[in-house]
Amino acid sequence: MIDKIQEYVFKLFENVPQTKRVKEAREELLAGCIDKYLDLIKSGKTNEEAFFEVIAGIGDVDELLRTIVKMEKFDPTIVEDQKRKYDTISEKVKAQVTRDKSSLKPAIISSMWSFTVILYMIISFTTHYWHVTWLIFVFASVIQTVIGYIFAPSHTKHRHIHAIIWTSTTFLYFVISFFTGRWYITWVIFLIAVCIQQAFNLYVIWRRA
Amino acid sequence: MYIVLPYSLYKGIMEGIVLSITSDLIRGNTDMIILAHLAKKESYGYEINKFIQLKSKNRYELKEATLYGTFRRLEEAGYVTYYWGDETTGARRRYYRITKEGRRAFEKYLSEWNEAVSIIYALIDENEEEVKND
Repeated sequence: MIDKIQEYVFKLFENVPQTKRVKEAREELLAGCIDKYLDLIKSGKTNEEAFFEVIAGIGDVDELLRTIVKMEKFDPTIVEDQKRKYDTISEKVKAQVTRDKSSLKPAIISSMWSFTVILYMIISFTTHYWHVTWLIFVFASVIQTVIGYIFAPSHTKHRHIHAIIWTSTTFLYFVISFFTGRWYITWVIFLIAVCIQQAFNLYVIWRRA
Repeated sequence: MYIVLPYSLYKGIMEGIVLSITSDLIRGNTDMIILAHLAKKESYGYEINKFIQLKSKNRYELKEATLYGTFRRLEEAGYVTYYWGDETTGARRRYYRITKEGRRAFEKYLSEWNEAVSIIYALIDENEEEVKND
């Protein structure tokens, strides 16, 4: 089982340049894991239980590597080439951080929907306009596409513009139709939306050229 | 139903905040906790974590990676030095020893901590205010 722990720990340090500091941290972590494993066995845990508890206790190795990377950066003995390798690692770490940030998006969207349901109930029960209040859900989908646009990385933002155009067109179609009652002509808004979408596509192409 | 849902959501969030205050506060003082242990004796990673676990009655345990990251920072600051043990089973332990600067830093840390705690107590303790009013 100790072999398995060693294999696991070595895997964690696999993708970074094997400098003295990295190897030392790896040995220290392995020693700590073995100490803990033997201690857990002594306290009556089975091999498997002890193994999983040790693995679960390791925590965020990226954080440790980040600290080491920072120390190496200030170390003048590290050659330029290796520094560059470290830069790519910290880029990856940064990318990870931004990905973590985007977990905010589902939280906002789900709370927005539950809020919409509550608002729908409150407005409907107080005004009794049940035949139009459901439009709030169409509006919520517009909001959702806008949230998607806000959280999208800059190179995919134009795709979210399309979503915004279509959800807001649908919403406007219903709102205008209900207010004016002229269902025979309001569908034209969809033709207008197609024009806007094509104009936006042309704009994107023109920007890239 | 639409009253219960937001309430349970709110409650869950508040419990999360309270829990994270405790662990954030402890994590923010990892340096002090480790220096306190090293001020008593030379030690190594697992022994320190075991000490933290025992002293806190299993309410707190550091992740290994956090612990070793802290050692690196203390080393960089000149607060600790290390030497390798001579274990023959797989991997050697890295033993840490507190330096003079480390001791000084710990004492400063401790007095700042006591100061902060007394201020916080003064600010949140209602009884103290009543005493003053009497």
